[in-house]
Amino acid sequence: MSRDPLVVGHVVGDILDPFNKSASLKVLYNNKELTNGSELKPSQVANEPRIEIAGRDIRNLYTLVMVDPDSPSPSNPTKREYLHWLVTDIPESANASYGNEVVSYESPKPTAGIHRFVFILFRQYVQQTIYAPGWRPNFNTRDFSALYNLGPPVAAVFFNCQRENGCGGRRYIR
Amino acid sequence: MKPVVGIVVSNKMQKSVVVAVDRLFHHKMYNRYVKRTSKFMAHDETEDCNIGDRVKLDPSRPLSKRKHWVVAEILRRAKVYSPSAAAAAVSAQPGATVQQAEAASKS
Repeated sequence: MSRDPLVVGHVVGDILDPFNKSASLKVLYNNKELTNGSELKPSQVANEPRIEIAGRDIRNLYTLVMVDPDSPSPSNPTKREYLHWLVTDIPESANASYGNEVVSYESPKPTAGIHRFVFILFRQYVQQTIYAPGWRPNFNTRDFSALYNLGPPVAAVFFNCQRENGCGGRRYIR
Repeated sequence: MKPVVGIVVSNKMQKSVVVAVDRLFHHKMYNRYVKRTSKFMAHDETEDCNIGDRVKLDPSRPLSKRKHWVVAEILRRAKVYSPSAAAAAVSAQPGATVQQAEAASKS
């Protein structure tokens, strides 16, 4: 039985095909590094994270995609995958702010159920123009990778997030 | 990883079951093997599980507050007594009584 968090979390299967990790991707929200499957509140992920790609050669470029495969709800994901962020031309050893932001960061606001938010890193073999998709819902990472010849992903990280002010609890009425 | 195998103890929820998983561990002080039971909620997409079924669980992403296992397969079905089977046995043997047929179906 595989204990890879990406397999257990059905990230491999729902979004990605099996791949070999060949790059080091660090995602930091409020200077805290993200680990696979960790639980974060929407208030903690309101601002875009800092992305660090380990390496020394700034000629190596990467594309970062952030998607939600559980939109609008995990039991009925009709908008799978919802595109939250798309940054291209990120140089190795640099921050995502040095890249070209094609689709701006939209903070996660899950309404129903526990949502997975996945950061997928692709290696760019050449510097190329990547166009913003017409809409955020129903984005397909596999098709996107095939369209721009990005090949399999080199790294991926995901976290879980759910509505903060959930149902239940006592309501204080004046 | 050792496969998680247990018995379904509740299937009253929609697409969810509660599975009791037994484990044995050696107690150092008493030098005896002690049995402990853990109860896990698991996702049953097909709603195929009945109480008493022996099932294998696979870990999953959090599906709800307490549910992060999925029923991978049903290893053994529970033997469920049904009166209709007993009645069929009675009709097959004209000389037999209902009590005898029920005893035969239970054994």
